[in-house]
Amino acid sequence: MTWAIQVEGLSKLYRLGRGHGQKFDNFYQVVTDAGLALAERLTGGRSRRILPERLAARPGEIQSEHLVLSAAQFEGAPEGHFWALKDISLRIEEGQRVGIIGRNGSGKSTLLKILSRITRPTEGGFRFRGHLISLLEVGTGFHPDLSGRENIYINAKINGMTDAQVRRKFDEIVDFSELGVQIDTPIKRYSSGMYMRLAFSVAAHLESEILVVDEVLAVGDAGFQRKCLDKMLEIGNSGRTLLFVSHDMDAVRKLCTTAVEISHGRVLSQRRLEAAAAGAEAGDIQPGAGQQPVAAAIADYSLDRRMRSEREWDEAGAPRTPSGTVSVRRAWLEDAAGGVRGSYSPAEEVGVRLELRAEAASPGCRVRLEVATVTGRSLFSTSGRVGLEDAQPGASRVVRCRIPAPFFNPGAFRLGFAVADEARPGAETVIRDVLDLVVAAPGEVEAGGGGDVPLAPVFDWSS
Amino acid sequence: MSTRITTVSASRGPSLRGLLAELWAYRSLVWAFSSRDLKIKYFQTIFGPLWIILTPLITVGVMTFVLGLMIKVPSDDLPYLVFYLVAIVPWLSFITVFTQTMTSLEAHGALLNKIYFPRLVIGASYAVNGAIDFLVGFAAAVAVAAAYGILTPQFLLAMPVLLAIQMAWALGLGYFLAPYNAQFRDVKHIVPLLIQLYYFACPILYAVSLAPAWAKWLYTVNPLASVITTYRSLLNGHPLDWTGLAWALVASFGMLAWGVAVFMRKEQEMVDVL
Repeated sequence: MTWAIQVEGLSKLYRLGRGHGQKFDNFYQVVTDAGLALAERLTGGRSRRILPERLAARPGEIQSEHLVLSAAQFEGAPEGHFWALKDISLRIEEGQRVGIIGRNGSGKSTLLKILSRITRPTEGGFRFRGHLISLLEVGTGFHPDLSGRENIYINAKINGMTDAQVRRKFDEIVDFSELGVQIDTPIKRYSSGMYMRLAFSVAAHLESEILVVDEVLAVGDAGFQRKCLDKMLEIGNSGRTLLFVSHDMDAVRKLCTTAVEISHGRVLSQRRLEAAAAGAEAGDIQPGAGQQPVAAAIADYSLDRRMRSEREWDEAGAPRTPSGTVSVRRAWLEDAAGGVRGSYSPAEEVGVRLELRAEAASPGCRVRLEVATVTGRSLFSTSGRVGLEDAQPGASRVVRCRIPAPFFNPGAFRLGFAVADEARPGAETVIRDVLDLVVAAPGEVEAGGGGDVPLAPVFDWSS
Repeated sequence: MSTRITTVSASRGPSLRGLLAELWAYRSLVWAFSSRDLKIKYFQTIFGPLWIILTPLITVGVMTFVLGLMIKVPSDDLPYLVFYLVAIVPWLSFITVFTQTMTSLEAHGALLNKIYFPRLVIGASYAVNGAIDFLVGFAAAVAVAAAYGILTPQFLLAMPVLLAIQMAWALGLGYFLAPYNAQFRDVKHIVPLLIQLYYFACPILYAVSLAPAWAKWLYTVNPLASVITTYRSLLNGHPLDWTGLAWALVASFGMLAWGVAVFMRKEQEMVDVL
């Protein structure tokens, strides 16, 4: 394999407190420092202000892991400075999807800025092959007085796209944003949701061999966020190199094949993420049968990226149990009145329906419903059995699962299924991300990203 | 898949060739920025782009009235309208490009902190808009000179060279000061004062012929003074100051090279300061 990014002995020195590169105190600082020192002497008390120099002067005392800076970060640094990054070496292969994780202040943002060529390293360097685009923010360079259309051009060009590329992608970007005729309205009249949609749509269509992405995906409304995650997976799967910087391990697991952990300015570990790696290779479908190549699965998503309350499969595309005797033809969400609907209030029960067809004689199958958050965090699963002993080949059967209310907190959820033959309990076919469920409090049009606690079931208590 | 390899190193800055190649790759961003600025400038205005021509015309009208008709400043045999137009048009364009480029790092702090593109692009886009402003004003000067019957072909032919000198001088000074302006906000307080002094140091309100002999060298070393004087000489038929012109060419492009070099060396440090 060839490398895409090679980082060698990269270090970055920052000054504590005041701006980097300012080699002397300015007049204002001299006066205020003198004033504070005088006040300190007069009152005999200690200044309330902790001077950064004091922190740095006693690096031996700074040892707690909970502090943002470690003692090692002061080693070899001039007084009043610290190493935000020290001696980072990394090799990222072409087509690899790498997640860079670390706590706040660990140095991951600094690394991102250096790789994005926003700031220069103090020591060492790096090289990369091909075109590199970094997304530290969406909507960079947007101007409120300009229309959505004009802002697409500016934003895409700031990100290094050529005229021809923008022209080619333009319609796709507008379609993706779902803004319709609003595209010619100055964006100062957009709602914040519309603004984010526009910004993300450009971001999702940038073309480059290497894409560096900050946690910008953590904003925006839930359905759209998911669309962008899908789009990014598409990028990863088309052989492009992805670098994703986040402190959300769930998101990294979902997107990346390798995780690089950074702590106190150093690389702590670089490891392969088995789940995502296996998913990428096996096409996001667990070993079993009914393999659907990942490209096809993604093409499927691309066809319909809207929130889906219903999904149907035709003869050829229908997922089947590993033996092939039972196929899944339709899945939908149903309210108590029997109507198909994707959005519910927390007080409403949700009905999940799955229509199965017996393709050949089969004793029956097992169906599992899997519920996850919109970012892919698995919440729970529940299974049911469908008896098909008396079903003629070609006959359909609807499986019902009722989720009583209250159960969900407001948020957006993804529903997936797994089907298995009764006779072969070990093997199953997993169909991910089939339906989207939105639970919103009354009055809210669209649910946000979902709170920390996605579920709120009521249990019986007694004493 | 492209096999172009980009190297970033702490010890070595980008090469001149790499820099030019990159600027070329980002040329469409120059247009994008300049058309954006044009749109924003005339967004929600009634006269719109008419302001490009209204600004110099109103200035020149006032000067003609006060300095020409009332004070009767000697104008080297030129009609006052022409005399002031060929000075004010380059001056306004120069000063806009210079101040915008000088504040480019500071004004785009948020952008520079989030995304990479060759920072020189911002100044270049100001130069494009400055050139548009200039050309519109120049067209007005040509029309007025033609109306007085004093238009010469040399006046038209010399314009591209004089415009290049004026732009290189403005961009060079702007790029040179941009990092210092970002780092030491003092620059912002000093520069308006210096601009005012420079306005009087340039032969805008008066002709060089009025200057005392001992101060003549000031107009030879000042590229913008040479630009203005040359425009006037090409219309009234006075002999050209070839020394001043040659020096203006060397000084302005030398300043541009120096300004770009300083800008490139300091620009990335500035992100940590902004």
